[in-house]
Amino acid sequence: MIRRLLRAPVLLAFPVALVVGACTERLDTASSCPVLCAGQTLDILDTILDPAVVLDTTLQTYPLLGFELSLLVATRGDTLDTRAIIRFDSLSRVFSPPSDTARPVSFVDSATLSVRLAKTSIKVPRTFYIDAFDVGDTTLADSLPTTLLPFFTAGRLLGSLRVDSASYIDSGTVKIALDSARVRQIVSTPGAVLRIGLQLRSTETGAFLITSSEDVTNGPLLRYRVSTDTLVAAVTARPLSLFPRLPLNVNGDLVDYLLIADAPDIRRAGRFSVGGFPGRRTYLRFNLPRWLTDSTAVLRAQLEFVQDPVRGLDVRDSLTIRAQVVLAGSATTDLNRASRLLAPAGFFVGDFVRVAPGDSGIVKLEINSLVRLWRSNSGVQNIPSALILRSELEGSSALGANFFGLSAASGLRPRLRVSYVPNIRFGQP
Amino acid sequence: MRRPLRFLALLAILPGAVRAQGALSVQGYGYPTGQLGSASVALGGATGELDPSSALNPAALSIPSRFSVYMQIQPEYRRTAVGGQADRSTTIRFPSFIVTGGNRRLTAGLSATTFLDRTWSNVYSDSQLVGGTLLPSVLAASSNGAITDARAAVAYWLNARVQVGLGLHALTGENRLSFGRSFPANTGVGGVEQLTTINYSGRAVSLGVILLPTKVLAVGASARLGGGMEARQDALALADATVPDRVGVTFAYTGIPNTTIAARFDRTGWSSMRDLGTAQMSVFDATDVGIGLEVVGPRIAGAPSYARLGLRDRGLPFGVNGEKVGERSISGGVAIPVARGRGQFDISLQRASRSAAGAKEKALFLSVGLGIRP
Repeated sequence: MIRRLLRAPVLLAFPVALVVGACTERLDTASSCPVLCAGQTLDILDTILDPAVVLDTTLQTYPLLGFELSLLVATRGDTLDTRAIIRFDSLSRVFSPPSDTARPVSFVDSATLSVRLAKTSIKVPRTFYIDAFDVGDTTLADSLPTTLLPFFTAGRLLGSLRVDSASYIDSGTVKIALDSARVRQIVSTPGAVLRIGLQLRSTETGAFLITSSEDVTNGPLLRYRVSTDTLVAAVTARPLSLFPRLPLNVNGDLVDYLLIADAPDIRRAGRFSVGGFPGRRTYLRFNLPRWLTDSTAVLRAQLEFVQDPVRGLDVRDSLTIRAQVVLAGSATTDLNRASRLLAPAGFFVGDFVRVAPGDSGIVKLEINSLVRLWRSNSGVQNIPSALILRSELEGSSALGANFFGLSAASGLRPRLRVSYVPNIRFGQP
Repeated sequence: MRRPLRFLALLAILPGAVRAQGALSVQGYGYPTGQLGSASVALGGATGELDPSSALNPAALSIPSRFSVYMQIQPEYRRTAVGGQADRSTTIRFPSFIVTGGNRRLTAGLSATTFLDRTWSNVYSDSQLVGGTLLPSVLAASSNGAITDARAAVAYWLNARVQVGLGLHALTGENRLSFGRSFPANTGVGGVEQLTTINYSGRAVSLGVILLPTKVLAVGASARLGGGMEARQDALALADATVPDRVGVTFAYTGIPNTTIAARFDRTGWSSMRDLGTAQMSVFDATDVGIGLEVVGPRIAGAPSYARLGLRDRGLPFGVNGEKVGERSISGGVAIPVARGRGQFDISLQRASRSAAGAKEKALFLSVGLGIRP
């Protein structure tokens, strides 16, 4: 019987296969290393590049006028005064009653402006008024919005709404009743435009945010009735801008925008600024040695700044500053434009810094992935070694911070602390 | 022929090679398998110079009992202890594949045998000083591949008492290496990894003879003369050295009926590979001695089976911290004929002990060889 079994190689192979196949993977040999793992050391060297940057410059205004996602309407005494402008340059001037022909609008009633309020990251007064003013005048230069300030007078008040900030938690939509007679006058006048300026009025200082028309769903909305007949639907209009005619396509940017009446200027000579009003970004250009970018593996690259405190508004509140990679090639010499051609936030630089405007001292930002990105290819860099620093609440917060720039003394100017591994020579025992 | 194929299919579905480093046996350019067939492994390597399934002596190709095709699988189960801590690891090797054919007095053969197996991996945690801060880190290193001895050999039966052989060797192969260090994501420190390949090329020639001076004594002896050897890392020349010379001799006594007693002495000049490594690599010439006993067992399917026992003592070529690594082993096995003697399984177990630099290692080899004579 045994002999017959032994004649069958498959049966013989089976227990052998079981023995061999029963083994399980065991890779962790921590107890034997490094005693028995010669040649597996890795030299990590440290160096400081000072100065780390060859160019620093502060650029404004970000976001560009009309590109704000949120419009900050603020009244902070004599330090900060911002307002929102919303344009309705095209209004329905005819309507069609049921089973009848179209006819001009001669009646306007129940005119309201709906806006969504938000209070994220800002100090909102407990109770405040939103005043809506008629600021429509197409004869003014649209590129100079400050010329609109004289229109914020009681004589041009379209409507007002009292808001209790406790009535909404994070955001809420409110309807501001507008002066229907004034709206009717605009609607019935060919070529006339309705432009509404919003201002905060309160016994307290504070601010609120309005969702701009960049958010198609939650942007401002104008609504008015054109007939007493309830079968005739009310007209709803979204913001639209027809001016300026030239340059082309600019008009569309200005459907709503932020009007800065007054804001603290945090800029100081020899410093670069981030945040504030108007929103500022800092462009930093590096010229790292090739031996570092091309011939080593960078483990850590910490960009160190020295903050210069800002005195004034909310110096103890904090703002988040992020770095973003400049993707604009060297052919883009306009730094303002280059500072808008960026990799999305979080790409290559996951780190951020959180500072208060009144802070001082060293701030560190980890950019090792970015330094690895700046490796040259056949001696040519695909993108310039540059990054921008921007506030996370850019354009919707007045908080800003200053840092000593390239012209400052050693120890104050930006520097790069790098830990790197020279060429690995693993393989040859 | 179908049954061996079924066996091969079974082997093919086995788990892949499972390896670990941090072991005494895989220092330097790797572990020398000895180029012994399973039968010789069971006999402590004692019959290596007379064994046609061991790619040592080219003259052995003309031994009448040779197989036309021979293949071998040899898993090693290893336990390495350092400072009271121990790791277990497993390496699966396929160390031999030999094809031979003959016509009258002349026999020719091609073989591919593992010369130095450098297959391991390790992952361990430690701390590294980065920018003045001590950070936790994980180091991962691995090597896959081997230097293979590809041999073309001929053997000639001069007369009933003398056989001679000549082998031309090409040493070839590669090690695919990975080495990296990583840090926890919350440290903000990036990792580093290197993937590299080292290719080898070398040449050697071997001469062998088998003498049958009396009816009860067989002597096999061979020598390998090493030629140039080169290592290239990622296509760039890394180092030059010489293939180690080797000389070995086996004495086998068959004066006791159904019994063979054999002994072998082998000396390999591994130090000729010194220039292939860095200054930190310690390499030693090594002596390999073994004795073995083989007895004929019951006949199975008309062919004899065998039982084997052996002892072996040898040095490994690559040391630890300048200290030589020795290996002692005891082995045993059986040979089972199949297919009416047209095939044979050689199954052996070898228990090996190694020690050096305060580390101790025990290994169990299971070696299964299949010879086929169509």
